[in-house]
This record gives sequence, structure tokens and C-alpha cells, in this order.
Amino acid sequence: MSPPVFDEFYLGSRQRLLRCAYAVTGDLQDAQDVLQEAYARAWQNWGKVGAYDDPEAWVRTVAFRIAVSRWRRTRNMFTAHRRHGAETSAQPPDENTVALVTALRGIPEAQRTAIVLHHIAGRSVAEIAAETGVAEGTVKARLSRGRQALAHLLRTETTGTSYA
Amino acid sequence: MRDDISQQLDGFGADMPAMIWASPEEIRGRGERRRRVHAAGMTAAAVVAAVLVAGTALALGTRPEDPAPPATTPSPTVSAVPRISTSPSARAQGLTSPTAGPSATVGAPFDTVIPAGAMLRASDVSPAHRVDEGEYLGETYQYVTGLCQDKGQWDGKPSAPDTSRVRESFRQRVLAAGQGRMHVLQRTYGYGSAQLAGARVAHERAGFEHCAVVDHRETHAEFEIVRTGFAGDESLLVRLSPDVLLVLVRVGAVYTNLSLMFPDTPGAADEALAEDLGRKAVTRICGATTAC
Repeated sequence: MSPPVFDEFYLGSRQRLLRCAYAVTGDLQDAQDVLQEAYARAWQNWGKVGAYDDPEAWVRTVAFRIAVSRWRRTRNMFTAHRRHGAETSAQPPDENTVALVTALRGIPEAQRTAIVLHHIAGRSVAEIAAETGVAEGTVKARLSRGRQALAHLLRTETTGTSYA
Repeated sequence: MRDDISQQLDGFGADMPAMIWASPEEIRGRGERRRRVHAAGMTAAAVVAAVLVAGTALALGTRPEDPAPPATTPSPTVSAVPRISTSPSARAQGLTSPTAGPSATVGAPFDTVIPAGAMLRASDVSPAHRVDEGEYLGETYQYVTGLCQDKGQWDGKPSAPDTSRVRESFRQRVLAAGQGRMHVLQRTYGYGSAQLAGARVAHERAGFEHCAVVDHRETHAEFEIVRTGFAGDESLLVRLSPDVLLVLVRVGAVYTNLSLMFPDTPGAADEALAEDLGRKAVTRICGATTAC
């Protein structure tokens, strides 16, 4: 156990992960809530998690899973529990961000996850395939379809990006 | 050339508002509390030894509701499906989830090992239900009783058996019938004696009583013990707010709890069904262990 190392990890990665969690949950407070819960679980298992090359990926995964877990969906009355003493500022994101989040919420979850991991978390197709346990071709298809769906929802143009 | 979508996604979150976060000390405190809460129960699963069967590795070190962290890769699995599902990373690494795996038998006396046959079968619930082989990633009612302790409503006493000092075996199973249908999470524990299993039930019951109403900001949860003594040596039927029923049953040295979740049908929680499943759980335990 090493509190200084964990603290540095937490302080240094949380805002970055908040972008991803927000894109997945569509709710800023909920995003922070699931992230803080994920960090608590990371500390709980820090002996293992801290030894990974990329503990940030572990926290992101746990946060995503908390966010989409069936129980949490059905028990969303519990989601505020973890915010002990930690409330968000009242300033909402700008309207473009809100519009994009709304559109992300309108596409299938698998596509949304792929989009968030690739475009916001900066993961490669191969990394996403490894993380999500699907073939690279599946990831590419999800990215392509997800972008098309987003474009439709946002009424913007997409050029049919080719994913390496 | 970057198209509109790419540009929007690239810039996503650039204007994220400043947030007031919990301090690192608070986060670590929560992690410590989780460790304590789970020490009372399911962390026995975390001592499962590696078992190799026909080339399939079973090497668990995680609590059932957390994903198996990658053993060698920095990239854990991201589940795109609201879960109850086998982690792809676990599959990739040959890991078997606790749900499908054997009970945590390290150090447990032989007669308290929980065999698969001691668990409810899908057909015990309905013809439509199936055993979900994935790991259960959701929260349990202990999430609420843990919060209740955090708030000082309950001191956690009488204490559950200290799993760092007593032997405990564990197995869990999820029975589901598709999105929106009632699903059942069963968690079964074996102890070295009926006294220890009874202490566990007493601990859980005290939690329900002390945490009858838990309020935290916009959150409101209620536990209500609606019936006792309908199965096994000890049994409780507890309603957790409108759409979850809990069934706790002790049979000798074995304790099992069922969480019946009715996700899309609040108010449909069927107490008669819950009691019946409690009795069926006893039948399964008695048929597969020496508890009776």
C-alpha cells in the first residue's frame, strides 16, 4: 500500500477519466459518482491494481461497469451515496457538449463505448478489441455505425473514416 | 481531413466544469470501508486458489462484483452490456468467474464446502430462467447497510464472523430470464458451525433493523422485515424499497441469501414466490451438503 502513489494517481487521472465517464453516463454528477466509487475500489485492491502498467484503464473499466450495471440502473436511487462531501459545481458543460452527450445516449451501448474509448480515451482499435473482448473488425464496425448514428442525431457530416 | 463528428468528439470535454472532488483521503477511506464490509461476507471468495482443470485456469482474486483485473495486461475489459456477463478479459485469460466457479474452499472444512448442487437451479425459478454464467457486477444490499454504517446509524454489531479468523466457503449464482425480467442473485456461505452461521444471520438482521430507513441526499432506501421462520432453521423475508425482495435462510452451518430483483416492474415483487424460493433453496442445500 502506498497512499502517496495512489493519491497522485487519483489526482492526476480523475479529470481525464471524467470525460469518458460523462460521455458514457450522460450525467456529470453520476459520472463523478461512479468514478469515485471506482477509485475507492482501486484503493481497496491497490496491491494488485497499483502494479498494473495502466491502472487508469482498470478504473475506467470499473467505472463503466458500475455505470451500466443492471443493478445500478434499477437501483439508481443509490447513485448519490458515494458523494460524501463531494458535490459538483453548478456550472453545466456548454450546449455543444450537452448535445453530443445526448446524441451518445441515443446510440447503442456497444457503439457508444467504442466511440468513447477511441475518440475520447484515445485507445486504438486493437486496444479496444482487447479491452472489450471482441474482434477488431467488430470494433471498427461499431465505430463506423456509431459515427453514422451520431451524425444522424447531430445532423452533421461524417466522411466514413477508415479505422486502422 | 477531420469531419464534423471527429472534430466534435476530439473537443469533447474541453470545457468540462471544475468539479469538487472527494479528497484522496476520503477515497481511500471508502476503499477501506469496502474492504471491511466485504470482509464480513464475500471476500472469502478472494482466497480462492488456482485450480487447473483440463487446461482451463481458474485463478480468482476478485470480489464477485468487480471485474477481474488484468493479470498481465494494462487494459481491462470494458463491458458494453449492462452486466451480469462473463468478462471478456476473464475469457481471454482463461479465468472463470466466481459465479460459475467452485466455492472458496481454501481452509474450509470439507462439510462446509458449497457444491454447485446446493444452489438453486434455473428451473426452480421458472422455465424461462437460465443460469447466467457471467460475474455479477452490481451492488448488493450490503452497499446500503455499509452506507448506513458510514452514517453512524449502525455500529455493525453484532459482528459477522471474522473471516480472517474463521473458515468460510462461498458460492454465488445469478438466475436471469432476460432484460427486464425478475432475476435472482443467490449467495451461499458455509461456516464451521451452525453457531457461526447464526451469528452471520444475526448480523444481517441487525443491519436491516438499524438501517430501516437510510437517507442520504436524494437517496432513500428502506428495509422492512416482513416475515420470519418460513424456511430452514432461520429465515427472513425482507423488502428493500419497492422492487427488491431479500430472502435470508440458515440451514445448520450454511447460510444463503437471495436477492430477487424486479427491475422493470416496481411493486411486482412477489413475497409468496420469494418464500417459495427460500424453501427450495433449503431443499437444494439439504440435498447437496451435510447441513441438514
